[in-house]
Order: sequence, then structure tokens, then C-alpha cells
Amino acid sequence: MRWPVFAIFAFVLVVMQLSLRNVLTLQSLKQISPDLVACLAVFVCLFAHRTSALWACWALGVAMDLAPTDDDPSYFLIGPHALGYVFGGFLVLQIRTMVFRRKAITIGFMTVVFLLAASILAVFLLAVRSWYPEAQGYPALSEFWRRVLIAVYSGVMAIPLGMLLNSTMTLWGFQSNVSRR
Amino acid sequence: MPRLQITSARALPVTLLLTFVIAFLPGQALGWTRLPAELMRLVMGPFGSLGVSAGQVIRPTPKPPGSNQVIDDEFVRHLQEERDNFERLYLLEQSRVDNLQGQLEQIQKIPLESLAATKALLTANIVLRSPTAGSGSVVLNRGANHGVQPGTVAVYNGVHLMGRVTDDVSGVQCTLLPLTNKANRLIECRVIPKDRPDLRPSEAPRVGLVPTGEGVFTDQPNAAEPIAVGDTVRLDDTSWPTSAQKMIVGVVESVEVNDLDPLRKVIVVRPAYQVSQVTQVVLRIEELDNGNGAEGGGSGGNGS
Repeated sequence: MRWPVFAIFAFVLVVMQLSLRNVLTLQSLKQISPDLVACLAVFVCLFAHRTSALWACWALGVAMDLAPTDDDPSYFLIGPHALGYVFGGFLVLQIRTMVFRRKAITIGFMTVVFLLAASILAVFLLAVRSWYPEAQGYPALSEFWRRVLIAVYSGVMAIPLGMLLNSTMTLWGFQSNVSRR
Repeated sequence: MPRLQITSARALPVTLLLTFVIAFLPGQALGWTRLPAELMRLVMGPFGSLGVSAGQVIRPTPKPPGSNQVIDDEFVRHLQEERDNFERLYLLEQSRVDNLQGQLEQIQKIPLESLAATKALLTANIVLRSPTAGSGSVVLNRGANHGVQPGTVAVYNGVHLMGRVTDDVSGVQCTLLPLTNKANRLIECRVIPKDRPDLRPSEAPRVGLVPTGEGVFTDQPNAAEPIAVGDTVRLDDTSWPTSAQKMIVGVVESVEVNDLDPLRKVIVVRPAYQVSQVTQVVLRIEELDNGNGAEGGGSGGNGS
């Protein structure tokens, strides 16, 4: 995988994720927004070398953890996305040989799986942190349900995005010895 | 190249372990994360602004109701004019409320027992005053259309007699002859001693007050009459309507021996309120068939 290409795509999608969020937000459904960065992570996981894919997931997760927020927090927690994406990526890596990777709908489905796995880890991590002294309560169940909705919504949005990414396949220089279907 | 991959593969678990540890660090130990976050914001800022602008074009933020109006100078001026106008209206209403409150206080001070002969109470504003004399007649903004008749009594603060309406009653206005006007000639009263307020009026000394034209009344009662400074003088004159009886005419201001007639003394009675001091009075409208009501009405004519 060509890392500069990945960096450019990652930068574009993170910026899109942060700045165009309101365009795709579903106001009537818990104000959820799709996770476009996860679509890229899934795309990379489907075609890149295992180690590169996990590194890419980690990098994208860290970027999301450090992403600007609406308020000015005293610290940024690195982990929920970074570890969650790696966990999701690991899951995608396990089942990528069983799917038609060049189909856009595959990216959509795998994005749902990816984000569900990432959500489990992220919610677990944040729930544990809510037990810390002076920490605020964390509604783990409702938050997980919200993330499930985000996963489904992101899966839907990943289909057209997957088509776009598939069309850029030649730029990426993926050298996988795994047979592609 | 393969060495790099091996290194990378070894570094990954270490990195993940480190990330795992960081994820569970307490907030106080994560202050350093603000630096990479700030760097990231610095890099993404300009592109993010473009993205936000593009997002506003694609899906504008819904504006609150009424905010679609064009905010130009003329609109602002219009709003300022409206604000000023509403402020004026507010002050106007406040003034009306104060006025009504004053009227209500006036009516509330009238004793219930004295309302027996009264058909209605009517608050009247003084709209015209005599330009020459303080005790001159005044014009009220109430007339026959409101039930005012010649002889209708005007009071202030419930029990202070101010005068009565003359024959000059039009549909919407009437003329009030103040009690202190010289045209009233003689006013029969009783003097209630201040130290014996429960004295029956029939037992109280009787005086015949004459307006001097200077806002006071005088009389020369018998020197033996127990009249002292501060005594209250109440109306007891059959030529006045029933509703005016026992109303306060004034307070004895001075009692002096008459040098020309030592058997008599000179008293001066001053009303608590002068018509020239007030802006409104309460008219006590009586029934038309009320006995001696209007017979003395307008006896003074226009005494200005």
C-alpha cells in the first residue's frame, strides 16, 4: 500500500467527516452522522497487507480521537477510536477472504461489521472510565444503541463511497497475495 | 524492505499496548494530548472551513422563525421606531394606570353609610380653571350624559366637601362652584371638638361660615361656644343635598376674640383641600326625586 496515497485519502475523509457532518446528519434519528473514515479503514482492510491495514486503522483511529470537538476539553482520550478501529479492522481481516471484496455492497456490509466491533470496544472502554473517581456517568447501553444506528447508517453511505474508492484502486498499489474475488 | 515490515509488525503490538495503557490513564495524565490535537486542528483548520462553507451551501442551518427578514439599515430603523413607539405607549398606559389607581383610592375613601343617598359615584377631572381667582369655578369633564345634575356634590378623599355643580351643565361638561367661593354666602356647619370626636352633631356648636374668597371661611360665634383650634367643621345645611351632610368642610385654624364685640369671637376655618390643589374630584350623583338635593344647586352661579 502506498502510504502517501493513504495519507491523502485519510486527510480528505477526516476533513469531510468533521466539516460536512451536518450535511449527512439525521436530525430525527438521534442526530447520527455516518462514519466516513470507517469506510476508508474497511477499504484498506479489504485490500492491504494485514500489518499495514492494522496500522492504517490505528492511524485513522488516533486521528479521530484527536479530532477537534465542539468544546475545549482539558484532554483528548486516545483509545476509543484507535483501539476500536484496530479491533474492527482485525475482524474484517478475518473474514475478508470470504467476501467479494470488489463489490461496493461488500464495503457497506463490512463497514457495519467493522463499526459494530469498534463500538463494542469503545463503549467498553468509556464505560470502564466512567467508574473512575470524579468521572461522570456514562449511559453505555443507549450509547451503544446510538453507535449501532451509526454503523448501519455508515454501511449505507459506504456503498457509494466504496464505489468511488474502488475506482481509485490503481493508485493504492495494493500488493496482496490473497486471491481477490 | 522485509526488515522494515518485520519491524513494523513488531511495533504494532507494542503500539497497541501503549495505546491501551493510554486509554486507561486518568484525565490528569492526558494533558499532553492537547498538543497533537492542536496541531491537527491547525492543519485541518483551513480545509475544515471550506468544508463547513460547502456544507452550509448544501444543507443550510435552519434559521429560527422570523429570522429570514433582511437585516438592513432601514429595517433596523423601523425596529427602533417601533421600539420607541411601544415605549411611549407603555408610559401612556402606566400614566393611565396611575390615574385609575388615584380614582379608585378616591372612591374607596367614601364611607359606606354616606352612600345611602348616592345613586352613583363619578370621578371627574378638572379641565378648566378660573384664571383669576383660586376659589373660582372650575369646569369638569362630566355632564348630563354622565348623570350630573345641577347641585351635584363634589368631594375629595371621600369626605372632604369641595363644592357643588352649578346650573351650567352641558352634555359632557359641568361647572363646579368651589365651597370657598364667596358666592356660597352662608354655610351652616357643626364644629366637632377634636378632643370629643364622638360628640353627637346635634350637640356640637353650630356656626354659619362665610367664605372670604381667599380660600377660608370665617364666623363670629358666641364667645361661650367651646370652639378651639383644630376642631373639625362638618356641613349641617339643609340647603345642601343629603349626600353632602356631615362632610368635612375644614378645620378651625384660629380662634380670636372680637375686639369690637367682646361677647363674640372670630374663627377662621380652612379646608383641608382646595379645588386649586387637586386635579380630580368625585361627584356624588343623587336620585332626581331626592328631597332637598338640587334646590340649592347653582345658588352661586358662576362665581369666578
